Amino acid sequence: MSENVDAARVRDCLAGDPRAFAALVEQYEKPVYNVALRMLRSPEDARDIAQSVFLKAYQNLSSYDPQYKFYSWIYRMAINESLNVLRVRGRNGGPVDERLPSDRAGPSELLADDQARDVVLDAVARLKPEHRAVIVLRYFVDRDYEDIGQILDIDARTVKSRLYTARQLLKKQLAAHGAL
Amino acid sequence: MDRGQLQDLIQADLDGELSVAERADLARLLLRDPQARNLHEGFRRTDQLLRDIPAAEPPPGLRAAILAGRSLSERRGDPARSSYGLPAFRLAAAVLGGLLIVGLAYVVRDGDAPGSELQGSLGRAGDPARSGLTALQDQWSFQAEGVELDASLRRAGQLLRLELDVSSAIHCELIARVDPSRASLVGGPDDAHLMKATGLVTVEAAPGRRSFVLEFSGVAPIQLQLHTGGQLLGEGELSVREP
Repeated sequence: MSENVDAARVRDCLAGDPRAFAALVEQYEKPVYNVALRMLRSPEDARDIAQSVFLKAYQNLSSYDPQYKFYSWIYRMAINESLNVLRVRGRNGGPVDERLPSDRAGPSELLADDQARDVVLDAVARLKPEHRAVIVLRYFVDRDYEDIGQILDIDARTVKSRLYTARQLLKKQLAAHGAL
Repeated sequence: MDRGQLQDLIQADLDGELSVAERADLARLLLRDPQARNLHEGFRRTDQLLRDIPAAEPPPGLRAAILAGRSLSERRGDPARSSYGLPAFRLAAAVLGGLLIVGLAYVVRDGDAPGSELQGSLGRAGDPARSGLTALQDQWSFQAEGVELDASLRRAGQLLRLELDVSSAIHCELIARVDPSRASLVGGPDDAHLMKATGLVTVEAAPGRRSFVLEFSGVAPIQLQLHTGGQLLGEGELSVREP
């Protein structure tokens, strides 16, 4: 249903209807922002990326292939833009630091909800970008294996494998922080 | 069942991908194997913590800035569809461009004449008046359905000072755009946000009156757009004569 609506909006936009593009922005502003925010943990960067993604989408709308889902197309742009920022930042580009930060302190007692949320987001931010991307797409924009594969251009088996590894790393970190 | 199979089952369980038979297999295994139970519980709680994180709300003004970026991009000639590929259109565009330059030269020469400041009266939303793109003007006034904006631009040494006075009955977003390779925001209210990708500066204007100054280093022009609820009300361009 949504795919048909999106395809119709893209057609209308290409036909010159500015309201069609505004409707696409309204529909996907929040998830695109969230993809970038969870990839980068920076509201400022996420805001810039959301803007840049929609601008690029608009400029390249005529090259959009309607056999693919529109959201896959823009989420891919959001992920790629986020990866570019990570490369420029020069951090998280190397192997993930898998040391458990609280190894020295030892597990603490169970954390309050808001603390747990921070710990979870910190743990996500410590994942390698390839693992972070599958977690972000699975949990923050609710995509299934097939969608994640299409967005990241990997097969479903690789999606499952990365997702399992990412969950395992998160579980270790969260346990070390007393969040589990 | 080996560890790999157990991992597959746990992951499929978290993602709601288990068949009825597989779910029964997993339940039996968890009952008799405490290690498997611990592993499953750890993954399940990790999964729940991730699911408990609410989606973040985009910052106010983002949609307006996106749409402003789109319309500015359109003006630069990057629309989703372009009909300028044909030689006839290119020729027509060149002729029109030439006429525009002649007109600009005429207006610029008379730039100090009384009445050269644009007093825009904007149309309804969806039919925005587009003005102010034809001359070196350092002041601009908008009026549209309960929204009034007075803008003036002047050079103060190395700085360009854009002074804005907005009086509005509705929530508005004011967006200023500079060429990011030629100018940058160096001062303004705390809620002013520069988007590096497009050089857009967004400032919110709640209902009421608000006056503020944006300071830029570099050179004009500065394009201005007034939005409400993501909809463009009007736009224009300010510039100053450089010494």
